[in-house]
Amino acid sequence: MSADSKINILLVDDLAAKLLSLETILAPLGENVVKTSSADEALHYLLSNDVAVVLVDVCMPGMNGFELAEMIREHPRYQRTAIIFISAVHLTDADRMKGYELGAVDYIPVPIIPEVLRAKVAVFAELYRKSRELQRLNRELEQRVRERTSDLEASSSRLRESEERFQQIAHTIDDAFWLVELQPDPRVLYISPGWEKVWGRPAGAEHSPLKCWGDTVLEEDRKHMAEAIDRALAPESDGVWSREYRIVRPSGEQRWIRERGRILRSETTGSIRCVGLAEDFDERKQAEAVLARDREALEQLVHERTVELETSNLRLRMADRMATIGTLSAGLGHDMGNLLLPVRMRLDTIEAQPLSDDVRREVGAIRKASEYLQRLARNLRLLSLDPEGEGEGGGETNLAEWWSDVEGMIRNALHRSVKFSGKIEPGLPRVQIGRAGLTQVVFNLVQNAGDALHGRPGGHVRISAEPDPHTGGARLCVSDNGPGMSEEVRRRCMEPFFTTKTRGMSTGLGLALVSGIVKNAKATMEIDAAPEGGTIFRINLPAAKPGAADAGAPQKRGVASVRLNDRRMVAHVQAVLTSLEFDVLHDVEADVDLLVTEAESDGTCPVALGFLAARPESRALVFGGRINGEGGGRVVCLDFATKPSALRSQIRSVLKD
Amino acid sequence: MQSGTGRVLRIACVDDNATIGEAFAVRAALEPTLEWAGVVFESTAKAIEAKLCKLKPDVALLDIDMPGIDAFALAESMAAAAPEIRAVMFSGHLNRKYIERALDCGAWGYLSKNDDVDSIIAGVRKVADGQIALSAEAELVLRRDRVG
Repeated sequence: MSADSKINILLVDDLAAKLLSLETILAPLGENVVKTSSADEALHYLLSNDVAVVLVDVCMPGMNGFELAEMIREHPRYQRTAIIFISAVHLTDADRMKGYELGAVDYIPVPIIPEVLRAKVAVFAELYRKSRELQRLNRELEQRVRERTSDLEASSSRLRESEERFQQIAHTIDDAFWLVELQPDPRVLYISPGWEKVWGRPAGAEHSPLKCWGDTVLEEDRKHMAEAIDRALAPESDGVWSREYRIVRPSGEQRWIRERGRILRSETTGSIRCVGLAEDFDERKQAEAVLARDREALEQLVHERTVELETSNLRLRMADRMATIGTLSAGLGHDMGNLLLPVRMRLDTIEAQPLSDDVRREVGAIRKASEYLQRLARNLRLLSLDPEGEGEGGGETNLAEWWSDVEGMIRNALHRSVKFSGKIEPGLPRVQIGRAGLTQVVFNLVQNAGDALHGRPGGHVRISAEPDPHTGGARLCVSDNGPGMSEEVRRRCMEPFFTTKTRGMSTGLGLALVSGIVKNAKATMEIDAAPEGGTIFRINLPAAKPGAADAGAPQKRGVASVRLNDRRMVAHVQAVLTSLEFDVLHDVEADVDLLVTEAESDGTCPVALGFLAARPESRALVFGGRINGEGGGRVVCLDFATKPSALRSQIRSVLKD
Repeated sequence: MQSGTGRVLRIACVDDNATIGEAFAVRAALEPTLEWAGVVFESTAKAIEAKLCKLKPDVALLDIDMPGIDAFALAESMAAAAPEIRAVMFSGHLNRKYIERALDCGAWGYLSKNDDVDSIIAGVRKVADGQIALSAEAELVLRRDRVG
C-alpha cells in the first residue's frame, strides 16, 4: 500500500439519495467512496476491506447506526477507525454523548454543510493515511530492528565461539603468551594461563614482561632482557626479538625461559603493542648444557688422544732412532774393542821387555791413548744397552749404581769446554724407572744443557740426586748456568717439535721424549730457573714398588745350596742360579731357599725330602730322582742328561709353584 | 780332572780375526803357566771342532761373531763331544741374550774382549779350575736386568 493510493470511505445510509449526495460532496477528495445501504452490507464490506472513515446514518431500518458502530468497534481491526454519525434526528446532547461513547469521532447534524463534511472527512482520511504510513514505517523499522538484532546475535555468537576457541587454546598451551601496550597507555593487556604454569605462581599486576616479570627474573639476566625489547623497538629493527633468561619459582627453583616476541605498530591508531611467547626450556637448556659439556669433553679427549698419539708416535720414532744409534754404537764399540784387544796385548808384551826410558814413556803414552779408546768403546756399548725387558714404565734403578755405569757416557755428551760435575751418593732409595729410559732422559737433558752453553765461557752442567721424603722416592736434578729459559719456552719446551735451536741442529724431539719417558715412569718433572742463572730440571722419581726390593737396602737375593758331584754340573748350575739372582753355597746343609742335589742310585732322595720336611718354604731340585708325589710339589726331578739349555726353565718352574 | 792352578794351561782361540789370536799368542808367552795352543778358524763348525780336538787345549775362547759359524751351537756340540775342552765365549758384545745363551749351551763362561788382558787370563784360569767365568760387565748385566 502506497502513501498516495486511494483510501476507502464507507457510506452507510438506507436512502439512496442521501448516499448520492454524500458521494457528490466527498468526490472532490479523490478518495474511493463506497456506498452501502444497510448496516449488514457495511459490515460485509468491512470484513474484506480497509476503511479509513465510516459515515453512518443514525436512523436506519434494522440495525441502526449506533448498533453498527458498536459492532465495528468490537472488531479489533476497526477500533481506531473513524466513525462519523450523520443524522437529522436525535440531536440531543444525550444522543451525541451516546454516539461518542460508541466510538464516534464526530457527529454531524443535517443539513450537511458540504465544505464542513468534506473538511472533516479529509482530516480523518489524512489521519488514516498518516497512521497507515506510520504503521508501515513502524513495520519497516521493526523489520530492520529484527534484522539488526539477528545480525548482532550472529556476530555475538561468532565472537563467543571465537573467544571460546581462544580460551581453549590459551588453556591448552603450556607456554605463556602475552599482549602488552607500550603506547599510548603502557599496560598489560593479556597474559595467558600458561604463565602460571611456567612461573609457578599466579600472575599479578607487578608481573609485566616490560618490567622483567617483577622480581622473578634473576638479577644478572635483567639487563640483557630489557635490551632485547629496546633493540626490537629501534626504527631500523624488524621488530622481532628473542631473549633467554632465568626465573626463580616460589619454590626457589630456577628455570631457563626462552621468549620470542614482536612489536605491533598500528598505522591507524598509532598505538604500539607487543606480543610475546615465553616457554620453559630448562630441560632443553640442561640437555644443551650436557651436550655442550659432552662435546667439550669429547674434544678434550680427542685432543688428549691426539697428543698421546703424537707422543707415542714420537717415542716410536725416537726409539727407532735410538735403536739405530744403539746398533751403530754397539757395532762401533765392538769393533773398537776387537782392534784394541790385540793392541793392548802387544803393549803388554812390549812393556814386559827391557826398554829404555824414552821408549817406555812413548809406550806409556800409547797405552794411555788406548785406554781412553777402550773407555770410549765401553761407553758406546753401554749406550746400546737395550731397554728391551724394561717394559712400559717398568724396571727399577739403583741410582748410584746406574750413575757409575753411565757417568762416562753422559759426560761425553758435552763439549770438552763445558765443566761437568755429577755426584750421586749410594744409599738413595731405589726408584721406579728403567735404566735405559733414565739414561735417555739424563743424556737428553745434559745434551740440551750443553747446547744452551755452546760458545759460552765457564759453562757448567751439574747432576745431583737427593731422597724425596714426601714420596719415598728420589729427586734427580740436572742444572746448567746457561742463558736460562723464557717463561714461554719453559711452558712449551715439552711440546713435540718445539725448539729454540736453529733448524738442522735440533729435531725439537729431545725434551718431548724426556717428557714421555718421565710420564711413562709415573714420575714428574719441574723446570725452573737455576740459582746460577740457567735452567734446572728436577725429576721426581717414585720409589720402586715395595716387595721387589727394600728401598735403599740391597736387593734381597735367594740363597741356594748346590750339592752335586760333577764339577761341570756344579759350575753350570751355579752360573744359571747366579743369573737368577741367587747367592750360591756349596755342599752346605743350611736354611737355604733352594737345594740342588742328586738322587741315590735307586732314584730316592732322602737328603732332599729331609731338607724339605724341615723347611716348609724351601724348594728342591734333584738330578736323577724318581720322586712321585713326595715333597708336596716343592721338588722337581731332572735327568742327568738334561740339556744345559733346559736347566734355567726347570729351576724357574720349581721356584714358581 | 786336575786343578788348573799352577799347571800349565793350553789355551786356544777361535776367531776369524787373526790379529787377536796372534797378539794373544805373544801375550800368553809372558805367562809362565799359559801355553798357546793356537788360533783356529775354519769355514764350518765341524772343521773347527776337529781342529780343536787335534790341538787339545784345556780352554778354548770362542768368538761369537764369526762368518757362517754359530758359536753357541759349536760350544754345545763341544760340551757333548769333547768335554775335556772347556769352551768359553769371548766377545766384545754386551748383551743379556748372548750371556744367557752362553750359559745355556754349556759354555764355561762369557769373557769380554774389552776387559784387561789380566782379567781375561784370570777368567781362563777360573774355567780351568772348574768354575764358570763371567766378565765383570757380563755379571753386571745378569744381575741388573731383572728376570722376567
